[in-house]
Amino acid sequence: MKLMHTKTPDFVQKMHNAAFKGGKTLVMKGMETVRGGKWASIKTGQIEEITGKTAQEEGVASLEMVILNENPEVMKIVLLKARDKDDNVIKIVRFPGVCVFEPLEETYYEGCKNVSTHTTYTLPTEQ
Amino acid sequence: MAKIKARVVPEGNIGGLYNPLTLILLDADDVKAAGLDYEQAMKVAATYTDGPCGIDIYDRNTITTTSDGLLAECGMVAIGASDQGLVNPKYGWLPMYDEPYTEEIVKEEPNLKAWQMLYPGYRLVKGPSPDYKKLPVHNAVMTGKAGNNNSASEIMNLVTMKEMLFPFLGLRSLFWGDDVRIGHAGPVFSVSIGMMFPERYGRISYFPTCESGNTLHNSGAFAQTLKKDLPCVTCTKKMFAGYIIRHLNCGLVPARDIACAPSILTLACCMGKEIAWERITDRAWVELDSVGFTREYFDSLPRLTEEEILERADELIPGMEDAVTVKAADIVLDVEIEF
Repeated sequence: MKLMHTKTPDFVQKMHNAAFKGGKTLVMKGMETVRGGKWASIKTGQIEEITGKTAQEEGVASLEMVILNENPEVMKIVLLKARDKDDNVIKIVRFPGVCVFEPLEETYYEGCKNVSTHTTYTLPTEQ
Repeated sequence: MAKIKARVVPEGNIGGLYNPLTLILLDADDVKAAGLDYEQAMKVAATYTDGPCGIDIYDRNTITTTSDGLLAECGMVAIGASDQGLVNPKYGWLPMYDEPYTEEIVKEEPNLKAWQMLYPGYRLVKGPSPDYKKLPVHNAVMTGKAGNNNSASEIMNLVTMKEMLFPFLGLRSLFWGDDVRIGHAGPVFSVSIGMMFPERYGRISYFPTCESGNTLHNSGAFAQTLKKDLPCVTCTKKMFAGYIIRHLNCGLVPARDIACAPSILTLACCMGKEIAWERITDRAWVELDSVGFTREYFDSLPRLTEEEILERADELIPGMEDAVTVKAADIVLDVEIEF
């Protein structure tokens, strides 16, 4: 699995390294609630490459990377856990399908019109 | 340079309460006359302001359904959201579903018995078209900070988290140039909007979620608190009473053919109409009782004529707190957007 997916701490480090190789600093936003997990390596490599190249572009002084949930209707599941006096869980009530609407990517454009999309394939759901 | 007419409800103070999005209301006839399709119209409307917007296209040749199951003229045929002049390509707009008239659908959704009685020849549009809907649950369109949810009846800024409710008849009143009531939703309204009518591809629910004698909120005494503090724009109570009267006169039975919302039950009692009391669930009664709409209250209501109900609509129809009546002309701007 190591070859297929990238650990979250490695993903973060790789992006900082890519920017640093271009002589620039990178601020990463949106990772506050990302704990554990694995990142698709194919995307990791592409982001690394473009981050490195962009860092070296003329006029670029610093980089910022914003990580968002792509689907803005984020579905949560809530577990209500009841414990006894010895702290053992004695009951769980599940609440599936709890939605949180999150701001979409345009929120972070800051008026910039120079927006391009980098991908090597289009998912069926994107068509 | 071409132009398209639009009615604009600006972001900011309306009737003393904060409207979190600029609302741009388009007429489908104007969209067509401008040579635009709905997607193009959304993108043109988005250029009106860099701020967060809700964009709705109305078609005067259509009817739609309210969450109560009532039918109303001038449905929305597309909804959108924009921010920074952009419409998100995936989530930013949706066309609505055109429901063809069939005997089967009238059997499944008995509120539609009123379709041919009240609005013969009109097309029925409901919630987002299933061919385009991307979000798994909500009937929402979103771009940047702008959220236009439940088929334009709940609008929100997703960063400031400010929200305003625009039940269909309220927003359409602004589009039509009628008076509206603006206030806080209050506990009765909070309970009422949970008393829904089940339909497929509905404006609020994509699939039938709640039987007509039940509560979708299903929150017990908490139901009255869910929406009570939200600012809300509704049609006048007299207009709403008129819709309820016309539907009851079509033979629709509350809690069976339309929802068991307090206002509908109240007017049905005043008119001496049949109510499917046995279909109102215990959970629905908990919520109705919590805001004073007990069976004893309904039984105590006087028998009134339709004219008396309309005259006393402000007293009989519950809901909304600290509400003021505002003329659409005092809120809505008539503009032309160039493209």
